[in-house]
Amino acid sequence: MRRRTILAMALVAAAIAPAPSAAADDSVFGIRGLGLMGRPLSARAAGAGGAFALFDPGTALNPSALGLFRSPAGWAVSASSWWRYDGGASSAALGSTRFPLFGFASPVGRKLTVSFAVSDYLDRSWAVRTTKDTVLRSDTVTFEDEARSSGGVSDLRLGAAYTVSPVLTVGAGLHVLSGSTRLSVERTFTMADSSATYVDYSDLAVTDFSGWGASVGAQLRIGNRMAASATARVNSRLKAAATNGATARVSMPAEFSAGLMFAPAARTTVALSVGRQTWERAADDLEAAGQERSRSVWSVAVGGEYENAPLLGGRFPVRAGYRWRQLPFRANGATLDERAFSAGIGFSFAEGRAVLDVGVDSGRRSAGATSERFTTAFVGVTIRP
Amino acid sequence: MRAPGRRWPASFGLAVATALAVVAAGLGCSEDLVAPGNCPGLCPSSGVRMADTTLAGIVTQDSTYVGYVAVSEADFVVLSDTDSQRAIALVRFGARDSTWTPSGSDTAVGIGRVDSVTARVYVLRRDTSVHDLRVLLYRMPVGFDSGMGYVAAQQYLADSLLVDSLPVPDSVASGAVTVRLRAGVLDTIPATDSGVVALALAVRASQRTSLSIASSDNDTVTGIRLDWYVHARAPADTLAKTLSASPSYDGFASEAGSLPAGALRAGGMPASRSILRLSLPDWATDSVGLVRATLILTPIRPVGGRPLEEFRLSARGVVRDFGAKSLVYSDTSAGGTVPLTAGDSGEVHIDVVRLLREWGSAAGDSLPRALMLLVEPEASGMGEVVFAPASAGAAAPRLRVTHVIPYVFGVP
Repeated sequence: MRRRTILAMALVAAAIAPAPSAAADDSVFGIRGLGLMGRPLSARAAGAGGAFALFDPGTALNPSALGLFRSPAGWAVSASSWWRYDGGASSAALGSTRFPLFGFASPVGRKLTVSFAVSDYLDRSWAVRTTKDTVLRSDTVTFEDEARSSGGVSDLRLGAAYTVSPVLTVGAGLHVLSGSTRLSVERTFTMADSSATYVDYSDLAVTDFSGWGASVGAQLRIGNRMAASATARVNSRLKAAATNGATARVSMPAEFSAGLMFAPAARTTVALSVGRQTWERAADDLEAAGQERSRSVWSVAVGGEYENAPLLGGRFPVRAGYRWRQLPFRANGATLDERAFSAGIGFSFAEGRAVLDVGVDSGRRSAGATSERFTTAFVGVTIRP
Repeated sequence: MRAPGRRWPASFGLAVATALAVVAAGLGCSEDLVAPGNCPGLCPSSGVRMADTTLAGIVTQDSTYVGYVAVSEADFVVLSDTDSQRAIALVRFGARDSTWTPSGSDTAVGIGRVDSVTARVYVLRRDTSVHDLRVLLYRMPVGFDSGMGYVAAQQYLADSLLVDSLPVPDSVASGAVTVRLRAGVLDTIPATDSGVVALALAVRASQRTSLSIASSDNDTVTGIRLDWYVHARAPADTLAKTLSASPSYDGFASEAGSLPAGALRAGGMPASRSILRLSLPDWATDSVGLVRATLILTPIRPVGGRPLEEFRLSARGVVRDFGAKSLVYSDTSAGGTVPLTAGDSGEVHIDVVRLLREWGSAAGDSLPRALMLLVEPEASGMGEVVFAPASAGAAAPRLRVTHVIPYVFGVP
């Protein structure tokens, strides 16, 4: 058993060894506003649509959930995404792999648990390519433009949870928003007349982001079958400083989430969570920067888990869920919504000391006539030595 | 939600974990983010915009320098009687031996009877549509001035000095042509000439034409040569010998067309080059935003050279401006080049965007804003361009620049 556990852990660790990146979902819709909002979910929470996120200690959302860690733990998530972008006249199949979340936690005494986690907050990785013909100096010249942004904003959270009583746990977190994007533009010329000499053009700029935030949360056990959880977070203004000297400050939203978890039967749990982010606060700053105004957004997730599903001779937890969320930044002149179905499964090794969770999240985001179908496979490992 | 804790078969779990790890690791190395642009909705708010403008009055100083390759250093000599070019070859042969030592003997013998004398030239280039092509050979004083001009040399093209005519068959587009000279004209060389013969070569044909023949500097073929087929003096007059003489000097004198004052020239023979010193706005020496820059030259007469001669006019960046002896880039990686054909009369356009980008880079910032115009390959032909100088107003050298207007990277 010990040999099998070590080998499995080594394999998974090798798979997710590269340094984490800020992005989990690289989408062309991230081209607008501050990018695409990240979803700092563990693979386990993602498999249930995020409905259990407020109750999941491996998800960097509610610091009070850290109280569920009764021993030191480390966790990491990889997210491989495939999506098909449909722009009406054009479409493309795209894909990428990111590492959107990792963290460590350890109990300090009997009631306190502290943690450090790094997660995806804003994804600003995207690339678009256009091809055009134009007349230059009486010649028809074909050029291809490619604009590419890589990077985003990560959320570094130092969190702690305190178990007030067997039914109440509270938590708090300090957040640092940090990251950068590298934006490049390229124009590549193609000439029918080889004697014409147009040299390709490229330029790039790096923008650094910084800010901070604070969050609080609480979990309340209501009888033997129900629990409630809530969290709130405030953020400072996000400072953006480009290499060309330009700077901007954008107000960041306050964030509120609440959830209910209910166990209608043995080994069966269902949950509902609702979130609100006041991105409207950023509207004036974005408008001043020449972008469209942002809006405050809602998110809703429902899901369930059955912990004793028989499959292929074994028994293990399976999860499913559905989620819907609004995105704050308009795209293509329209508001942007996202909805997805999720499913997941968990594998346990070494009597629960190593857990491998797999989740699949498949859905669609659309803005007007432009849409994107996506599927993300989450693989997460949690080690409790 | 409680932590999952169910156990399942060891081998199956290990296999699943292995498969997932392999898939995750493989995907971690691939990325394809590029979507087709759906503009303006899903494109960057700032697009790449270009502008095209012509910069006039950019030449602050210009100069033409002559003599980079002397006519005697070329691997050809030109004979021409066309309206645009008149040229005759001037050849001084090395001293012909007056004695030789027969094999098997240690006693030198002198020249007795001369059976014949032949002249040989190697035709490099001719107009094959011209018939009855021939090279006229005239005797010249052996001490002629190698700097003699075309006009001064005319005095030697007198009938009384005509040695012979060397016909070039119509079938010979290029190759060696030999003629046996009229008896007596070159059989003997005056003692005062110390065995040296000098000739002037001119071309004649059914119509005016131009002809290139190989010079002694040609590494590929043998140039002009004279051969004497002689016998030794009696009593050894049964001994025969061929004595040869190759040029110690061969060049040509051409009638230089008059140039307007200040006109700039590149190419021709002797080879000339021109330097343009420029004053450009900063944006025109941008290592990023320039996508095309074209130097426009206005010829003041059709491109010169032998009929249909093809060559390239190149602009190379100057590394150190020492006037005629300036150091320039060894190729056009910092500059540009354009093919030309003799007779072309339109504007000459040379793309020099690489040079301007070099000037805009950190490495090139200290370079003089100057470029040298020269013909390539230099001195392998008569191709030349004569163009209007900076003082020529609208016809002065100018620069057409296509550039990207600085891209605005939005923040945030």
